[in-house]
Parts: sequence; C-alpha cells; structure tokens
Amino acid sequence: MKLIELKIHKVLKIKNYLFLLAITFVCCAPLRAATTLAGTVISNQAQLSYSINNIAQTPVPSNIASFTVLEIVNLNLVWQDAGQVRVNTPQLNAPLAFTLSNTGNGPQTYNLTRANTITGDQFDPLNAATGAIFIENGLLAGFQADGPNADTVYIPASDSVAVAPGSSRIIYVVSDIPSGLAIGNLGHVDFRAHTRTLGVVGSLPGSSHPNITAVGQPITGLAITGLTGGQGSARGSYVIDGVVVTVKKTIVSPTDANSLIPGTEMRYRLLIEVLGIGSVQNLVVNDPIPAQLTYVANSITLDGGSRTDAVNTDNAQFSSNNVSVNLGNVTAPASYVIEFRTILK
Amino acid sequence: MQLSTFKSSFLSATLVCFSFALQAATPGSVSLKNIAETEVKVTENGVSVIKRVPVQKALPDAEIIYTTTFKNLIDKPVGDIVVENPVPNDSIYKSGSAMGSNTVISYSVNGGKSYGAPDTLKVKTKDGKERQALASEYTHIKWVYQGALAAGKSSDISFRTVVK
Repeated sequence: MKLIELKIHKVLKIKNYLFLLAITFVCCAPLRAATTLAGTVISNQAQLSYSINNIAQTPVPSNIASFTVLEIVNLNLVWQDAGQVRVNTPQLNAPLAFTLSNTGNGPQTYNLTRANTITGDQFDPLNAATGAIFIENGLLAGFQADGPNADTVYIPASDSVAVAPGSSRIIYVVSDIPSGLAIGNLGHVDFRAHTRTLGVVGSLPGSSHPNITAVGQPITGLAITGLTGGQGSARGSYVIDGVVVTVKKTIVSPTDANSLIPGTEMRYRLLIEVLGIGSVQNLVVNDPIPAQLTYVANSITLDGGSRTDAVNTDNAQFSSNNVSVNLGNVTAPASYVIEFRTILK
Repeated sequence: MQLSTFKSSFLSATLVCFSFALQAATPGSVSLKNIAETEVKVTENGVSVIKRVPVQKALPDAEIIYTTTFKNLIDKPVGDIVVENPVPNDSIYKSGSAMGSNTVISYSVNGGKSYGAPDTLKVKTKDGKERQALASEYTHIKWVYQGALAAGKSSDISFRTVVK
C-alpha cells in the first residue's frame, strides 16, 4: 500500500556563524586589570622629620630605592565554540574559534600552527583552501572568509600575531570538510600558539632568558618563563551534521493476516524516528486511507493521547480520506507513535 | 634715634621669625637609608634558609621588603622623629607588614594628607557610601618614634609590598 507521504520542510542546519555571532567580541580587548608592565621602574623614597633641642629641623629624604619589573611570558589559548561545530559533508570554510590571550606583562608575538591528524576521531579536517588560519580583524564579529570585512589570513610559515599584555585576539582555524562522511562523525583539530621570545618555548617555568624576540628586537631586561612554558594548545572539533527521518508502519491488530474478512477492524501503527544530529522543521506525517478501508472516526492517537479528526488546536486531523499529524519542529533524537483504526470493507 | 629704634625692632622681629621657622638641618645630624629587598631561598651547609637580598629586578606578584634605617650622627639626642613613606608605584601594601620598634604606626588612604589607625580609615564607594579601607588601598605609612633617639643610636622601620 502506498500509505505514507512525508513532508519535511527545511532541515535546520545550525550554521557555524551562528555560534560565532554568540561569541563575545573581544578582539584586542583587555582581559583584566593589567599587571605592571615589564620594564616599569618601581621607586621608593622615605622622608624623616625630627627636632634637636625641640627645634624642628629640615626633613631629611632618604636615598631612592628602586628596581625594574621583569617580563613574565604567559599565554592562554581557549577554544570558544559552544560545542562541536556542526558541519556538512562536504563543506568549505568551516571555522573553529579560539581566543589567544597574552596573560603576561609584556608585548608578545606568537606563531600559530594547527594539527589535523588526531587520534580518537573519525575524519581529518583539511586546511581550508582559502586559508587554514585567520585572525579576526575587528571589522565584523564572526568569521568572514571574503568580502569587505574579510578577516586576515595567517600564513604559518611567515606570519606572527602580536598581542598586547592583558589583551586577546580571536583566531579562526578554518577547515574544508571532506565528502562522504557519516552523520555524527567527529573531526578534531589541535591548535597551538607559542611565543617568539627566544628560549622560552619548552623551558621550565621560572627560567630566565634574554628578552629578545625572534626578529632580534631587544627588549629591556629578561623574560621569565611562565607556567605554560611560553606555549598553549587547545582542541576544537567538528561533527557531521544531518537528520534522518524513518517511518515504520505495522498492523497492530488483528495479528493473524489470514483472519481478515470484511468488517474486521484493523489498527495501524506508525513509528516515526528522527535520528542523527540537528533538527527538522514542520514535520508532517500523512497517511492516505486506501479505498478498501473505512477510517474509524476520531481514532487517531499520538503517543497514546487521543486526537480529534477536526481541524482544530490539536495536531492531528482526518480529511479527504487522509490521516495527518503535524509534529512541528523536531530535534533529533526523537520518536513518535501514531495509531489509528480502519474497517475492512 | 627713631631709625635706631626701627632697626632694633626689625632685628627682633627677624629673630622671632627665625625662631619659628624650620632650622636648616645640621649637616650630618641624622642619616636615612632606604633599601628594597626580596627573600630568596638558599642552601647553606645543606640547610635551606631564607635570605634577604637587594632587589634589582622583580616579577609581578613579587613581595618586596622596604627597610629604612635612621641614625643619630650627632652628640645630642634627636626627638620628634617621624618617618613617612609612600607605598611605591605599581605596588600594593601587604596587610600587617609595617614594623618599627618603639614607634606608633598609622596609615593614609589619601596620599598622605591625613593618617589614622586601620580601623579609622574610610574610603568612598562608587555609590557614595563609606566603607573601611582595605590595606591594599593604603597610599602612605607613617612611623612616629616614641621619645628621643640617643646620640649615636640607630633604628629602623620596614614594610612589605606586592608588585601589581
């Protein structure tokens, strides 16, 4: 019997940029009350007043005790997306958003790298052809691959990103997603940043180094390795998005197909399952009643609850010899059971 | 005669004025030495000990100890000794760290305009209300030495800060 017609309107794809729009726009924003900047001279001078024979004397100043504040090299790298970023297979320019923060007290430049081959996932995201890493340029929040507000492509072999002390930058790791992947497949990317201050990366916290950047610009004093060893790493993940709706129709009663004679009441059951990741909108189940059957009035149930045949506030109706149930917007995973009765003519 | 009287009066007035003015400090009468130090852990004879060393460079969050030593260099006692010391720039006073034998210590939260005991110091909040000042809000510290410092004697006062 040709009984089922499904109308699935507009599979809701939760686009990556929606996540990105939700990210607080913190490009170059201060993180907190800044610690004392490297190179600051801290000075102290006391003053003493006194008298001799009860005659006040001119106050005496002390020498000035002073020292210089050193640079502590610290950074923090955090994946910003609310969860696994949902992507299609294939898809171009899928961004993961990270925040790179300079939590030290001196200006820093960092090199950025990404690794796509990670154990524990089902596919390897590819470096996007338009650019594997982008720096948020502050013109428009969220990743912009092109157009007037296009973010800045970062070239791993030659570029670096500068971050002022106490500030942060938003960075996008952008991938092309291969084709032919299964719904629910995961793809991880490990994103790394390390300081260009020579000698700091990989050194023990507390160790000191001449404060010279990789481009040879000397900065006053020493740079001291912070707790992160001058580097940071964060993992972001993609998941293949998609929704599959299945319908299984069975005759609940009678159970013996050989007992069907005119006048037999037949109860049908439709099992609707919404599987995968994501949502469907306006999911409507239609089941036309064939000419050999007579529909039993007001016999529709949804998950055991009665429904009327009339077009009213409940989500089922019977008209033009058709059983129709409107399930509306459904987020996977979900399942429904629709039942109705007929009489064999 | 009138001129002579005028001159005499002028001289007297001048002397009175001088008697109320601060006297220029007798050169070398009191010395005042200030030093900033930090504590480091060192091993001496197999034993770990903490030593104070002069600080030339320090990181944020480092604790700095300021010690001011004053000495009477003349052969008379020196009285009314008061030492005032600002909490240095980019630093926070460490609560309870001000020391000084035979002194009364008070604090300022208004740049040294006035001083008081910790429980008397108030600051205004953003909504205009007053609350007790935190030690981290102190701007100056004052030590008032009790009695006179005898000839040749010295004493010292100290406090600690944390680099912001």
